[in-house]
Amino acid sequence: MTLLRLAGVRRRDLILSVLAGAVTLLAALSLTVLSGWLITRAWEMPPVLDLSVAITAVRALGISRAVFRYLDRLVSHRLALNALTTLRVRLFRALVTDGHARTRSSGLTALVSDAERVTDLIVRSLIPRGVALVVSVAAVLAAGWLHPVAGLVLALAYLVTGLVIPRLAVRAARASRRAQAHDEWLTELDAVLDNRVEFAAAGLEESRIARAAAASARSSRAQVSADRPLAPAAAAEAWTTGITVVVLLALGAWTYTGEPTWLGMLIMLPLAAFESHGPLAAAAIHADEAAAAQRRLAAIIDASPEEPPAAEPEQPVHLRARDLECRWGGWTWDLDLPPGARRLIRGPSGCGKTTFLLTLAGLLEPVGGHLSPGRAERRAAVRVHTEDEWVFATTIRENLRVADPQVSEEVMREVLEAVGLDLDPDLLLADGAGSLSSGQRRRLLLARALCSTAPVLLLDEPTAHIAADDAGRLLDMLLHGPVPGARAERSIVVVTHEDR
Amino acid sequence: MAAPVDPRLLRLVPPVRRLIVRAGVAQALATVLVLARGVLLGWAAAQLITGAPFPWWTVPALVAVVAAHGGVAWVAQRWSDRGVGDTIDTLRTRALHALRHRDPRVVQEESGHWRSVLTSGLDDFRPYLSQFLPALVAVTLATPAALVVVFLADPVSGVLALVTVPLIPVFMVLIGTLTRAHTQRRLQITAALGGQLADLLSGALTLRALRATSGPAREVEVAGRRHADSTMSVLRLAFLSSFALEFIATLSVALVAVGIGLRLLDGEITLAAGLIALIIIPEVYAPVRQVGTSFHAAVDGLAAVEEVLPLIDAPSPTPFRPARAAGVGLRIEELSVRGREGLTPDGVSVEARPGRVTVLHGPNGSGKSTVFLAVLGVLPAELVSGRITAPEPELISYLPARPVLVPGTVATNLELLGAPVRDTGVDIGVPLDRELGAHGTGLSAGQGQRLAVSRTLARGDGPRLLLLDEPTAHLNPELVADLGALLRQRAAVGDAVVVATHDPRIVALADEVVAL
Repeated sequence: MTLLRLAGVRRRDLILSVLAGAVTLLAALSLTVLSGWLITRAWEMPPVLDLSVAITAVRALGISRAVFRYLDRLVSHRLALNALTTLRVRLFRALVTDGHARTRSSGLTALVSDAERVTDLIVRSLIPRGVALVVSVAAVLAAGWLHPVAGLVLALAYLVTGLVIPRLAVRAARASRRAQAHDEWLTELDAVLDNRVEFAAAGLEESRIARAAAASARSSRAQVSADRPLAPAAAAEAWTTGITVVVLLALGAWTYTGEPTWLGMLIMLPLAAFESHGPLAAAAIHADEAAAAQRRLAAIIDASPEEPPAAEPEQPVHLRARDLECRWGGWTWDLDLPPGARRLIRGPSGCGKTTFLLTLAGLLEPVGGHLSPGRAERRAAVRVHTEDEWVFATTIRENLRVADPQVSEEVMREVLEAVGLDLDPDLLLADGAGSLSSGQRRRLLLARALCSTAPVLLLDEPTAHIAADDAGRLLDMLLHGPVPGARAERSIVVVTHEDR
Repeated sequence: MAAPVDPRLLRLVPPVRRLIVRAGVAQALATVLVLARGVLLGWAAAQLITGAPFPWWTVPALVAVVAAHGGVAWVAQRWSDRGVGDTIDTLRTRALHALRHRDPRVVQEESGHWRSVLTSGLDDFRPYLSQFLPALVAVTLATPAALVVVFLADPVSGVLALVTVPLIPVFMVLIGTLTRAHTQRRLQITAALGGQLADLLSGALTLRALRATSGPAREVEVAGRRHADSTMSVLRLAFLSSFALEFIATLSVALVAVGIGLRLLDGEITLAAGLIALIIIPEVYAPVRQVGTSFHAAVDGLAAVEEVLPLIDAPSPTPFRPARAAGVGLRIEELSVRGREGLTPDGVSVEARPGRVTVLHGPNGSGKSTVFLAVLGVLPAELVSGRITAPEPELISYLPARPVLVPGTVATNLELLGAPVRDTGVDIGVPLDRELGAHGTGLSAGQGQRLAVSRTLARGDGPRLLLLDEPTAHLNPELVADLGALLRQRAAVGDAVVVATHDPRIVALADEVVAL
């Protein structure tokens, strides 16, 4: 499995967990079979000494199952959590290293939950499957030892419970995911939650709620119909396990040779033989879901070089772009930015302004045209501050330090005042950006940009969500005035929306 | 939740009652079939061993039992799927209707919360309905029935089971109580570390753009290790209660087997009774196990329902309705509305006459938007004092601060509020067939605003009362001037125009300014 390789899990780590799990279920299976032997043997009224080993073994198995279960869960969860830690670090290193084209934060949460799937994959899929395999082989061998036909019957039954039923479950889970992907309920709910008054004012509230209710009913029906394969799966389970019991009884009656303990074991065996197959349906679903996750993760992690390149020194640069074509947006760009120059770029949304800035900063490769100096030099000298820049759930001070870990208290105070963010640097933003209004967030991000020591700043919509007169003052400062912060002399490109 | 099933759930959500009844019927049938299978199997085997001729009729009988059991499982699964679907659907629809009567300011503030409660939150409730409830039903039906069969076959084993079954919940609760304080402390640490990790990972691209990577990478590693360690220490305790369950259940089965063996040795019971007791005894514990294993998922899933139930159980507040008068004028006298931050507005009076542009002017949070909500009659009456005389609702056009944009074309959005697409003097700047995504992606904020203004102005013929909340948001200076002229023009043809804004350019062209 790619996901295991990415998470640094070795095969032998899994084997230990599988063995621990197999011991648990083999204890349960032996308990049942041995009880059958014990009772039928006792009926023959042998001397009590003949039974003492079996009695002790049954008692020991009764205790050991719970103990082994506790231990095997600890072993498998530890393995899974270590795998998650490794995978998370690798994902993080890959994300912060140049070499991938991902520039928007919006897909990151999905990527993080992709990484978290590795625990489910290990604990709920790979280990239960391994355990089921080991236990099934042991049970088929035991049944075959009692009677070859019994072994064959059990093996056939295992094909149904181990392959057919999990396949039905996967089919239901896929259909259910498809149904959720086309769910209109969320859209209709949004309209009612956020815009109810507007509809009410237009006299449309009733019909809008009726629409949302209809969407809810449709999504429920889609889910119910996606669940359809679960019913035959439930029935198949009851039939398979039940028929195995009946067939082994009939086989026992047909070939009975007068050996009570043989029959006792033969009829008890199928009663406990299917326990290891119980989790296989869920295991198949988890494996199916992990497949897409591991493709996405491999695309990021395998594309990144192991070690990030050494940082270049920050030198003022003369940035030149001619006939530059970027990955998104159909425009070609020309820009001449000597050290200390200021530029304002206005354009309609969707024309690729942000992509242009990311390309200038060396985070994306250009598609065509000329761009100088080289990428490494630009990466060192140029900082791009995009609209979706992250605010960390820590203090304002630490959020400013992201731009420059050595930034002094005076510089921080100066830039906070200049951008009009009247908050204590020690204020903890417990919710990250959620702890700020959108205007405050923009001001904090602008302050962060000004704390950076880079000679070139590229600012994407730095004054969005800030009241018009204040925005004008800030824009004026960025385009004409000396800027506060780590460097008074620096080149700045500001991108704004045409409507502003 | 004190009772295993919240009584409000049964009272307010009828599909849950049907779900439980059907689960009971299916469980009763399945129990009878499983017990019949065990008894037939044990008895037939004992006949064979004890030298009696094998009762061959038991084979077709067992096949019939098994076939019926599968059929019951099939139907029970379908019943469960439908019952769960109906229950979730009912909860969602009831919640929608209940939210409708709530204070819209609060609903909008909490919209993110309700969005997650009514989507993923209620999805997490499914395991409670599909697994935990049936397991509870099984404990009340299958466990006693299996106990009775064991008693009939072998009273000694029956007594042992009767004593040990109640021990399972007792020990699980005991362990849960003893470890609760420690577990909660560890869970808080785990959650905090998890939050820190998610925060760092979500900010990875920002860290990359700003070239601040080495420190955070170490942090991810250290926090990750500590997260793993603290999760393990939670699990070590959490697994203890399932250890108790497994331990008691399995050991009891083993002790029953040993007991039967010893009594068979002394000839105290028959082989048939012993085999039947041995085969049936796991069925006593199976439902208890099922409850134990589905318990945690079920409890996690209850969070959303515990939000929804009080919402749909509370009586809906009476809305404040303005008095109606002919014409399109609006008169507000001494209006105060209670909100989270006290009274906003506090005692405001407005007289908006046809032909005039009236501006409500004030900083954010002064209650400009709330005045409009009161005029529209959507606030709970208990929060509102004062007097409002407004035109008939059909004569009011309202533009909220955040207008609705739905997925579809620009034309769909223009027709969304019931007015046809027509020229209102507002240029939207995009073709009518442009496809928009959710929340108006595909339009700039300014284009979205112009679309919404045009849509609002398109409503109705003849004079109207226009309530416009921040109509100039996201508009550039030329467009603000155009909109100002358009509003004057609407006033000139007889509309009463009321604008809530802090835009000085709109304040400048007002006939009357009410400061809030």
